[in-house]
Amino acid sequence: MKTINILKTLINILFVLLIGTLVLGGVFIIAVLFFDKELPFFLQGYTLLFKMFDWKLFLIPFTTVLNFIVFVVAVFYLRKCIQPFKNSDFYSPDIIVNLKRSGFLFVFIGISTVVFRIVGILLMQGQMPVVGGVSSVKIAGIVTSTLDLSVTFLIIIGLFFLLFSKAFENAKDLKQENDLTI
Amino acid sequence: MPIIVNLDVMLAKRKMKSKDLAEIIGITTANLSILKSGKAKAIRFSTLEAICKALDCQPSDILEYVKD
Repeated sequence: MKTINILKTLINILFVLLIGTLVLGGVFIIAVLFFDKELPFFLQGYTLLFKMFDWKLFLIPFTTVLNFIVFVVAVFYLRKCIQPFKNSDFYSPDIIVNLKRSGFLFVFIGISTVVFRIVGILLMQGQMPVVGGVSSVKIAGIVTSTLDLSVTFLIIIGLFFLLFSKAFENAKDLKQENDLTI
Repeated sequence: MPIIVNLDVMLAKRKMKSKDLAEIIGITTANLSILKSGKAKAIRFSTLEAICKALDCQPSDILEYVKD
């Protein structure tokens, strides 16, 4: 019970911080885009970022923001799993469904981060003069450089959640069978 | 399921109530109702033995195989 309480507290703190960051980020972008003149002096330069708009430059930041939003949703689903655990209702359909959703979203974030990083680097290379051309060794280097620890860990955690979801689903069926054995 | 539970037929033959049988064999009336209605997934040998003893019958009197 102590473990669940600690987990619940930590997930709640994480969720509140993520929502706070999301709201502050949204307010910041709106303020920079529409109220640039009213902003304090040290914040006024940021509007230049949006004025020299080039989608290639914005690809990685934009997908990072999208992945951040998806991450908030994944944490929200994890948060929904905690209450049945707290009530010792381990075979609740809520746990199975939310773990599956959360796992799928974590895997999605991990894979999309790698893909967009590769695309971003290739696009940037296309804009710069490349000495000796793009060899297969260079592409292998790009792919390796995009697979950092956090992304790999996120994909592993996502797959674990998908596995747990399947395990809980099987356990639920077994429990039902056991309950209906007279 | 092709296994039919004829417990209600045996109960009628022995003129015994479900509640009494449940009490004799030591299961709840809710579980006996699950067994009678055919919703049960499995039956323990110990339960089958207790039912046969209480109703003085054979397992074949309670369980029947009918092809789908």
